[in-house]
Amino acid sequence: MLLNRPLIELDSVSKTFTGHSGPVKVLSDVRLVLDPGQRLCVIGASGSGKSSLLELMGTLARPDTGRVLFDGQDLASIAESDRIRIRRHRIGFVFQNAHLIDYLDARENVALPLRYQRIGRRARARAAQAWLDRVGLSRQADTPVSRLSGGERQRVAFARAMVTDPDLVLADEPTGSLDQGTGAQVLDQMLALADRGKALVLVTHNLDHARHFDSVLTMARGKVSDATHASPAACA
Amino acid sequence: MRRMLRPLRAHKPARLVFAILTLSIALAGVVANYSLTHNATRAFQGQLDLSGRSVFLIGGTLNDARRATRGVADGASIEAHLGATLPSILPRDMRLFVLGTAQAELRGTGPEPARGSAAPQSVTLFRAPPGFLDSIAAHPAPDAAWGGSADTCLLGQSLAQRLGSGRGETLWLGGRTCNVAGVVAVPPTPPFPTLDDAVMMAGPIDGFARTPRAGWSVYLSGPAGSLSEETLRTRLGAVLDPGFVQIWSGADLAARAERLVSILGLVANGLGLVILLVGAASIASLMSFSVAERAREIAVKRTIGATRAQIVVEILVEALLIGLVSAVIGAVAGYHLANWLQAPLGEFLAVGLAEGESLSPWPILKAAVGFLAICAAAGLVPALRAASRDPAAILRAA
Repeated sequence: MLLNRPLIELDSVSKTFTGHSGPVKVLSDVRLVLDPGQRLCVIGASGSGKSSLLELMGTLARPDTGRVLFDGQDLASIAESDRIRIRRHRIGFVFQNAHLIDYLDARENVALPLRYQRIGRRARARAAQAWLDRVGLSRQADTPVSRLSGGERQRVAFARAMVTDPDLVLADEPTGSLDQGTGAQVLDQMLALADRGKALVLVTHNLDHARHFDSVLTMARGKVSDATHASPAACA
Repeated sequence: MRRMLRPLRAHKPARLVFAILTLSIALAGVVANYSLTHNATRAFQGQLDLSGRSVFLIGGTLNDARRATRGVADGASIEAHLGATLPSILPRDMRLFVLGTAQAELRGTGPEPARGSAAPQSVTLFRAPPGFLDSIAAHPAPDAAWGGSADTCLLGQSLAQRLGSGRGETLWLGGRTCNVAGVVAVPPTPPFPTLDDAVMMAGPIDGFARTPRAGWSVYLSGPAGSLSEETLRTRLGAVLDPGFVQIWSGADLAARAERLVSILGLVANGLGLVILLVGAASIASLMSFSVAERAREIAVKRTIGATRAQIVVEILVEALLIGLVSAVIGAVAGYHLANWLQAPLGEFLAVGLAEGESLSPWPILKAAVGFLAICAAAGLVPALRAASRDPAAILRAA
């Protein structure tokens, strides 16, 4: 990875989904450059295209028009297996409802991405335990995640995203289902633990969160309505 | 063990138990069915073995001997006549044995005949010329010298056990004695199903018989294909009048046995297949339900880096584990079910085992392996369907 090359670049990207009432254009001519280590906050109302943008950045979807480059590679020109490899090794995902596997305990949930990297059982458990220690859930390692609180579940989800040491963390409203206090604690922990070498993209509708980020992208009706690349104070 | 069964945590316990129970019952039925059928087909093995040889038994009554030989021999000389004339009309590799059978009174064993109120037993006497017992796979092969004397005999194993008698003892048959030269086990090969319960002599048996023999018989044995029944009938016509001769052919019996075994196999396999398909439907529905319920989980796994193949393997492993647990329970239950059923069924059908035999593990193993293959196949469709769904679309809807 070259430091002077963007980690992700979206070039005139458009995307349309076919819903029950016909085609819906969710992204229209979106341009975006995300550098390694950059922290980007994407804000907007529901249906503004934030999550779709995250899907494209996370190699989960392909644009109808335009290009998505990941570390200089056009995602449209690489095989499905290569996109999976990128997700497996270089991207960490945090979802709004944590999306943990309920019948697994916290350690097994955190270790799950390492299983798909074919890392041995013991090494997986060690790495997972280390991340649970960092997010303050050492004692809950063997607890089934169905017994954890919302904030704890989200911290497990964050540990799962970080355990592969990714270059990019994509967080889709990770505090959306938490109360304000717990949400703030989870976000603080994420920001503290995602070291500066990692790019972090947070999708949220909470404007308060934006002030912690290097850049803020405001989306409306599938378009970037405002882009700010400024100090935290200017974003607030 | 616990670690191996961990993937099953993905399923709701009640549903899992119900599926395993259903599958175990299905497999137990298949195993019992296969085991009992396998035993039934083994009962025909003696008849099936006949297809590997050309075997005939020619016979007639001594009263009709003169007419059968067109006046050449009578009842007293027909066996000598056949022994002299038949070899010239048969293929060289065909062996010929002049046999004879009669009933005798056994008055006891030991140096003196039984006296007092002990009633004599009726035993079958069989004339077994040298080489005959080898040709029907009796074992151990009798000492070559056993037929050297007219007053030596062999005991079939069943008769020896029944009498509690053995080599070196003396049998009182009618008014004469014979010295037991050995005990041989004779498989119940047609057309001699009861030789194991007879006294065998190499020479004439008439002096020991209770009543004079009424018939004559000649046994022909050769390699498969060396002589057909049609050819035999044609050639016999030169020596004997076919109107006074009966011919028994091993080929007919073997063909019937083959057909019967093939029908039994078809019935067993058909029944087994139907039961296994019920099991397959059960596991397919369990996996389909489960996979549909776990769509979000599978989408998350795909998102964090699982390939389609890894998802398919995970679901197949779950299906195989369910199958394996059911196979173990079903095989054990089926084994006991077959053991339990074979005694009452054996009274009416040829499904029982001989004394001392145990159920063969092969049909059980075959049923279990087939069952696991069906479980894998039944899990494959839901697995492929789950792996092919778009994870982004599922997470978007979640």
